Amino acid sequence: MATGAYTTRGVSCGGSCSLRIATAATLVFAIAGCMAGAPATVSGDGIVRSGNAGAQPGGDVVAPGVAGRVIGADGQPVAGAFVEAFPIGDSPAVPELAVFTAGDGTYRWFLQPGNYQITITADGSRTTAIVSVVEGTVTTSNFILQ
Amino acid sequence: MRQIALSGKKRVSRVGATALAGCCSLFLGVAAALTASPAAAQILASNDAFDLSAVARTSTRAGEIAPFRGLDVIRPADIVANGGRLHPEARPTASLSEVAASRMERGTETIIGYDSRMRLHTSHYPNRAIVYIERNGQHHCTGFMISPDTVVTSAHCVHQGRFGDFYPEAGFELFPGNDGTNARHGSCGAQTLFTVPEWANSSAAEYDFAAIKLDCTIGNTTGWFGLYSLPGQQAFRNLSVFVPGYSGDKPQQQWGSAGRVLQSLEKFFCYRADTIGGNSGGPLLHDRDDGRAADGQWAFGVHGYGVGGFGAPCGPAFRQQNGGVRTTQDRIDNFFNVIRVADAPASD
Repeated sequence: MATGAYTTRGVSCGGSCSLRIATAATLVFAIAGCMAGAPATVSGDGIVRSGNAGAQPGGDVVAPGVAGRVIGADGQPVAGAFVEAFPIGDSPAVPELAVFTAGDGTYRWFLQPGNYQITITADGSRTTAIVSVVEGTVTTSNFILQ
Repeated sequence: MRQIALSGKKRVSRVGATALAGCCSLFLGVAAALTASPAAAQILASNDAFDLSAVARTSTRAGEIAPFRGLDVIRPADIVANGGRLHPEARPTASLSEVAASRMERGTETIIGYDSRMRLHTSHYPNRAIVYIERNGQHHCTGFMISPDTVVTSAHCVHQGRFGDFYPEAGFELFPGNDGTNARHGSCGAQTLFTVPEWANSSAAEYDFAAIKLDCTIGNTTGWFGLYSLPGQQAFRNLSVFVPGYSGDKPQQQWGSAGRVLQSLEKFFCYRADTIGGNSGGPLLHDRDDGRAADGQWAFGVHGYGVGGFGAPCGPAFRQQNGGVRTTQDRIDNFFNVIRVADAPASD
């Protein structure tokens, strides 16, 4: 697990945010807090609307999933790598979002608890890993693209 | 409330039609004519003097939203007049060789067996009404227009479900009919994001649908899809389905795959078509055989999921099926149409 300060572009903090990552656990909570957007407005018509710009994200529930960083053989972060998740066995179907690594090589997938094959593709290179996602945690899976 | 704008600046609310009748009767008469005549609206939409934001120009019955084919030719001025952002590198039309190449190109990767995807040309309706969605400058999802300023997509494209909240609107940029680096139909931002409480509270795939209200009325140029439903749970079983969208492995290009509806559930469809990350939010299409296909292209669902096992609506016995939510009559009338007729963008 790499430690240090990172500035990411691929997360939702109104453009960018700075994370100081010391451990996997702090990565989990830093990203979870950073990803949350403005709380919703629920009206009587059964429709939930975005709004309340500037409000603080609420709750302390960590969205399960997988997160990590992709670097090349030279140790440099790989930006724009395509990240795919495939369910294994009876794991839930995966929402077909497009997930790419950010400028610093980091990525983040919200996934329901289960087992998945994570595949990273960039510039003709591909690497995979099997990860288990459990409720309330973010599994860290870093990759080196050869 | 719906709004009509003059010269892209001054806006007049149709709610205030009575009060305005004395001084604006001519204009309101034009608006009424546009409502009744898509052809007239199309002609006037090319006139820079009119910004036809949110003019309901197509008739809509209960349980459906009627499609609109858009302009015959979209000029940069049309995009600007409807609040869209131009991109300097964009080319309005493709060369013949580009079109020919796109029709020949096929996917080569294995998705469900042989990759049957084919690249789609986006100069014309209906493909130009399919939307490439970026978030924070990166490919995120697919969507499709259903009004001048409303895009349908998956709920997971705009909201984190039971674990979170909406993504910030400011991070979204939407490009109808994008083709690689050629944003030929401009782009718009997201004004408001919508989903249903069932998704926000449970992340259940059966409720994975959403809408985005744009800060522009670009649908006046690109046209939009109709939405429809059929009574009876099995109504769509074995019907052909076409699933177009922006696949993450095909840089910003629109591709599509055909399949068949294998399970027609109350709120969900299972089918076998080739999709991949990035296709979420694309329409499920079928050529209606009841005479309504002439109006434009109709969608009956929203693609959202790849193959899966236990917990997926398609069930563990059907792992090799993709899935998407069904746009039921209730969802069309009480969600999509409510948002479709909601306020148009308040300012340019």
